[in-house]
Amino acid sequence: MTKNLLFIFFTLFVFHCGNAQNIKGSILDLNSGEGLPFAKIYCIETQNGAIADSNGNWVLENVINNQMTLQISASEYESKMIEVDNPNTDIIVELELAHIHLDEVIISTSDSKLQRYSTFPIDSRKIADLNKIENTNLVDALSNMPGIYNQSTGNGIAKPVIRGLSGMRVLTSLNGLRIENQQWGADHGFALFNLGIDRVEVIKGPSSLIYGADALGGVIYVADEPYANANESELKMSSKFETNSLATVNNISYKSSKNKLRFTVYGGCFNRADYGIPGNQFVSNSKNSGGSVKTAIGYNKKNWITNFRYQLLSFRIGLPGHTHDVNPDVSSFLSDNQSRSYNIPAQHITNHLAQWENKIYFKNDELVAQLGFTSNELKEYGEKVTVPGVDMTLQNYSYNLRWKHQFNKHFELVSGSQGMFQSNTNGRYAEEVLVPNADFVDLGAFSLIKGTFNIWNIQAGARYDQRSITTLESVDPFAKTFSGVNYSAGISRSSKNFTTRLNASSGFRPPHVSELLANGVHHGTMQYLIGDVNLDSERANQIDFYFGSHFDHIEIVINPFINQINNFVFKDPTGNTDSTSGLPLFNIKQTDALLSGGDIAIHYHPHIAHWLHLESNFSLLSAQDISNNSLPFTPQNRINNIVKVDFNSDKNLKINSLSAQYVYFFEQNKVAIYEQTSDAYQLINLGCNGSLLTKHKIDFSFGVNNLLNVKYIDHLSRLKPYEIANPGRNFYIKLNFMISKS
Amino acid sequence: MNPNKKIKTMKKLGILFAAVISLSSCNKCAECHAAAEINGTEYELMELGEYCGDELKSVEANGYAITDTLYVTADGDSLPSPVYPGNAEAHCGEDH
Repeated sequence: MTKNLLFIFFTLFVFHCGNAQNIKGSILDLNSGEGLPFAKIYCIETQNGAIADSNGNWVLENVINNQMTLQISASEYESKMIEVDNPNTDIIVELELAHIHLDEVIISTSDSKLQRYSTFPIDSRKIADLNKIENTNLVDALSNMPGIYNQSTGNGIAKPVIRGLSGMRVLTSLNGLRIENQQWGADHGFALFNLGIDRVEVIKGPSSLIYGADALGGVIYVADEPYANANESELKMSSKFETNSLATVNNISYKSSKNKLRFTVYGGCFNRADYGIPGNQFVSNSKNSGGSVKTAIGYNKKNWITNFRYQLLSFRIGLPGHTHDVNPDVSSFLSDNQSRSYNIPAQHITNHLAQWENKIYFKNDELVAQLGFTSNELKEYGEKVTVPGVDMTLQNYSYNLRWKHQFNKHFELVSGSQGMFQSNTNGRYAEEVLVPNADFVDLGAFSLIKGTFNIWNIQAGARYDQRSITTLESVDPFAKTFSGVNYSAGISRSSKNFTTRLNASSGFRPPHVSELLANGVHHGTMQYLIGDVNLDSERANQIDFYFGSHFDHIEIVINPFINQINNFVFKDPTGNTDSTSGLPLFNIKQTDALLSGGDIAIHYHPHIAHWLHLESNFSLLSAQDISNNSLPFTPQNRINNIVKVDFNSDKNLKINSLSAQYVYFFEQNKVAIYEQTSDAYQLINLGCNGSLLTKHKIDFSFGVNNLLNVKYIDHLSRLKPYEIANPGRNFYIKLNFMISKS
Repeated sequence: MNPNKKIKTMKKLGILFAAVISLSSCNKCAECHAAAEINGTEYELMELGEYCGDELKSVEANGYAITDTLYVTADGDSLPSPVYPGNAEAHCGEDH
């Protein structure tokens, strides 16, 4: 019987392998009707695509049965998203010429829409666009987006700040896998680095409906590069050098797609010496290094797509701002010599990220099931090289189930459930225990209905979450459960020239065990923290309004918001110091807070100078508690201006674009009681991008950050209390090699 | 790309990768100093030189025996109170 079943299964499998599904079509100019050469077709579900030939004709091989969403794009044309119901007919798509196109497809909210049609406050950018002028790290690149900032500790530790909120209030998702890396710690930086990343989508404000209870500030959704086009393979390398920290960054990638199987592998490493500040001095122990290997395998069969992804990251990060001088001043933290050799205090971080994703498509339904595992091993060597002061391992098992049902062309229902089973374990010989051994269980369920009526989009939904915390101490164990119901509702109207959106959403964040049970020194932040077991969950309500006008040569966006957070957790200085460590004592307390502000953006593309782009965005933020005291680490208001010139040339060696950026940070006088104000400062960055066509295509870029070598201390820099400046002038050069493509 | 050339390129990359891995596995060494904490402030008492491998682990775990009474730090600054003979902590690998 078993043999017969196996024979039948094998026959069906072989039969299916010999009957791969292809779809084909043409991409045409709307006005002229001519084919658009080398236009791109990308399938959202299978995450691979094809390139049209010189006549605009294309074939996409090995696609799934049932519904598919294709993104059609071509240079200088407005992108289109189409849903393919009948793969057996030729698909003819007409694209309209568009001079300005800030629209990217959204994938993080299960919408698969272009950005302007989303009812969520979401901003999607390609990493390559954010790095037209290269940035030192991924968070620096993200901080080019309106409302996003970098809370840094030197250039080795960076935490993204969304509308003034960071840490536990900002959730990071990698292809739908929730990243947990002890982000409660102010000196615990972003878990990822720029390896194989295609785009970043930032959902601003409470996003608990889709992502979980605690994303009060928002979600940073990181999406990997797509697989190679069908039946193609490519091998690429890149190398970058920066003068300020003598940084080297080297990456290599191999992708291959053959029939139904797709495979990618990436490897990368970086090494930075101490960074330099104006005055020819270097910040001691600001060096950092690390590496990563990541791989993905994708396979589709009929209406089923599966992807398995794994990434290993390892970092070694020096912690600047450390001295044993009896009466320290800023010179205690600086050196005339630049060093790359290993010193302490330092963090050693090892992250394992694994995800298995399955998507099944039916006529009117889509089912997504993701299983995830992350392991974050964090060791801090404070006083001894061989014995860690802090040694914590956080393991997280997660699941994500989502079911989408299309009722008709107007309405769809999305329902789902997410869960997380987390355990924190301290190393046996760790000298400090910041978070006790504990288990955390998160469970949530949500339902969301969406409607589309011509130019109108609406959505409304609700979610229930529960979080249980249980410490594993034998003496005075702690156990508590928090729960909450949240909502999200939005409406948008997107005509050819105008987009208007209004969104209201709520979120709740249970207090973290580090806030509940803190009672000791955290060397990384140089504070003695005292927690409170009676803390309640934070609860946020946000209203976000968006107005955008899009014309051929100018685009203007206005996006104000207001976010009220009740039971906002903060550190309150007592004014006293701990007698043993000599560090200042902080109590963890709660208050009500109000954050408000917004972004205004303009993109101008003159008709008489199609090669010229002028972009400017202004971000402002106010963050206060119920007594009108300013919250700590409120970012400075900022104007970010970019001028970009595009060139068209047929030469083998050519410059593709020149970019100049001027960023002005306003002074920050609205500070918490124990903070100091920050001066205004301005930065000029320049970048040049080009390519050399030889046997192997080489893309190059070079430029400079902080051209005028301005000495500045950003308000969000954690080295500010020590008067340690941010990096000075930095020249860079980067080369990308396409070694082979077949 | 020619399949043979592809194989050669991958071989070269593999050798390079193996070389990087092997070079990174070397004995851990660090400069050490004896330290004492007085009234919440750490003072560097004397330089102990470089320790490596198991000796490094041992000196960090067991400390260093001070045989004389010390009145000044390694830099010659006065200590707030004398440090008498006994076991002092050994701190290694710190950036000064």
